[in-house]
Amino acid sequence: MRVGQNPAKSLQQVSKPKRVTVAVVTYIPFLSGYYAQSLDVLKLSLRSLRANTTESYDLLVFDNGSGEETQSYLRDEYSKGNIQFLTLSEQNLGKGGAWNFVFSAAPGDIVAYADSDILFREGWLSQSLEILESFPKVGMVTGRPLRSKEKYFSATLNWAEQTDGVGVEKGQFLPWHVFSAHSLSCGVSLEQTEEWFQTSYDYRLSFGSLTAYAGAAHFQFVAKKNVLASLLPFEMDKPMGQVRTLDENLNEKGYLRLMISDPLVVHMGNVMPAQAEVSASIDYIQKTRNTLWKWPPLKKMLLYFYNRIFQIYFSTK
Amino acid sequence: MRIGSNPVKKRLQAYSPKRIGVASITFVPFLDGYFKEALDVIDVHLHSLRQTVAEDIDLLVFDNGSCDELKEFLTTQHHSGVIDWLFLSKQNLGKTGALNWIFSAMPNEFIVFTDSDVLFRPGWMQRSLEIFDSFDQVGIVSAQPAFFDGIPGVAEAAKQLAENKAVQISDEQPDPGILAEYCDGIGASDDVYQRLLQNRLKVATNQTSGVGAVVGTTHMQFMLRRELARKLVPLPATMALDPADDFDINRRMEALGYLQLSLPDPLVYHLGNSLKGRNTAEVDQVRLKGVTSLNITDSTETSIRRDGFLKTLLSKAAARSSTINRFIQRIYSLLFDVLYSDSK
Repeated sequence: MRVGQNPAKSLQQVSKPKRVTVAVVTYIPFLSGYYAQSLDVLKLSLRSLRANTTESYDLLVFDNGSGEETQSYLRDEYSKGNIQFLTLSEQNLGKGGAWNFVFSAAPGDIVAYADSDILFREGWLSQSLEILESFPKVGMVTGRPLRSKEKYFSATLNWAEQTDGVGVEKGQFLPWHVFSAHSLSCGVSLEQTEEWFQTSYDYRLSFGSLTAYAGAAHFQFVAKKNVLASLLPFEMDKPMGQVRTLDENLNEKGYLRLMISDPLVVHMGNVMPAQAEVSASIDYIQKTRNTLWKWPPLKKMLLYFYNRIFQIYFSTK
Repeated sequence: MRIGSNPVKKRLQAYSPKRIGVASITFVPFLDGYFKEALDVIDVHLHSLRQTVAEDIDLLVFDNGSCDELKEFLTTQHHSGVIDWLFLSKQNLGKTGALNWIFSAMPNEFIVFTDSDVLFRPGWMQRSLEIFDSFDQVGIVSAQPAFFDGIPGVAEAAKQLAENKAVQISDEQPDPGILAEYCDGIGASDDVYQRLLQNRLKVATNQTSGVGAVVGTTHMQFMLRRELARKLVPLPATMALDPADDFDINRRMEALGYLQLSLPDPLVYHLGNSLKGRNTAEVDQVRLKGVTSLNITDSTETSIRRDGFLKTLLSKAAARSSTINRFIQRIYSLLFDVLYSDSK
């Protein structure tokens, strides 16, 4: 039964969210093998975000079924006030599923999305917002230049070529260190990176006093929430690999896909920047349930082999 | 940099949402005064929900800026598998602010909203779904009869139903016992009870199936389809808890031409802020029954670094032979799958 009046009814106003919601999706099932350094990478990512973002924003983190150590870290960050909105999912909804949650529910008018392995540098958000709000009909802006397939930004090139006052230059403008830094961070071999560097091109656009590159990437971008919401829902039956539809849909609908000129976001991947060599000495925390694998000696043995094979396999790279 | 390809990329199926997702909003700023029993109330609320669902559900708890004690409690429930998705907000976004989030984001075919002080009784889910199957253009269904008059859209819904020859509309007096329980739950005075007792409920009955529904709905608990939920947002969010904001749901539903219905039987009950009162025995039964938690155990172990001969040999072999390379990758992926499924 109700006794008395709920004092919440007397609250005259509620908090208004910031204009920008920085949204990060995390998934670190355990701290071993591929994910051995992922939590450290995530910590560095969030630290760099705080240190290098001068604009006001709310941070929304959607944890897509990580292990306890990661969720515990996120809860701590939330308690400290470093995360304003935290969603903890018991299951992995796929990146598309997480995007369905995040893009429809982000309280800000602008969503700055990032994977959990992004290093932010000073000015990343201000420069991205400048492009987003100065160019017409912008779908997404990525905080660094890189080269991607032209078919995903054909609408951008069409717009640039057909609009008076827009300059388009095709050439190889990105310096090697900028190009290779991103390519290598994605696990592409040095040989392949060199080949791509020599055979692909950049499209540099000038609009008023601003310069941007054509193309964008879905590991990090800034976009208007209403534009993202119009593309929902994304397929969500696989954990990864289905988010390319964001690039395709934006391009098909005639939205511009752009990048800022400076590399102000860095894809770290699954290794800490200062530790390119995989460390084999790591701790991990596992959640288990009633299966054969719960038997400690067997689990220990499997984890040992898992780690060793990971090291063997990837030491050849 | 990235070393290796993310093993998740091609190996695993993502989680498929259940047909029905239930969203509960919590706001307990402190455990004193009005909120003194809040933890117990929410505990009973969650247990009764889990005990009475007819099929597996996804449960989202949206915490709207509560105190640390409640967050800790919710985190424990999330850990034990009672809560599937736990949303923690540092600020109170208001009830309609939370509903905006829920209506926009829940991926389930049917979304059930509930206040966090609602007791669920067996049959609430099946009976609610039955209403969706028995009438056309059903918008929302509450699992408790709507006693209050003046809710936007009720008159229009009754008119709409009356035009359907397969549906019979009758005026019925509220059951005094059910009404008394309802009034007790919301802390209504005897005057309110007497006034509501004089009202006549409009009851629609599907002549073919015999399924009956009270015209009107409540804001403390209701079910609606995801497609409709998406059409209702954004709702204005001005106050933390304002019935005027809630009524926007009804107005929008009316504007879209959807029916707002409720069950004739009280299959959910408003616990309020105290577990004392007429339903103590029922509450005790819920607590006794408990809920089956997932069996999750944490363990910490440390791997050992040892760069030996075998590793060097295999590394070289893998680098030179694509077959060996693929074989090792396959074993790695298999082990990952085993370990991954073990961790979930």
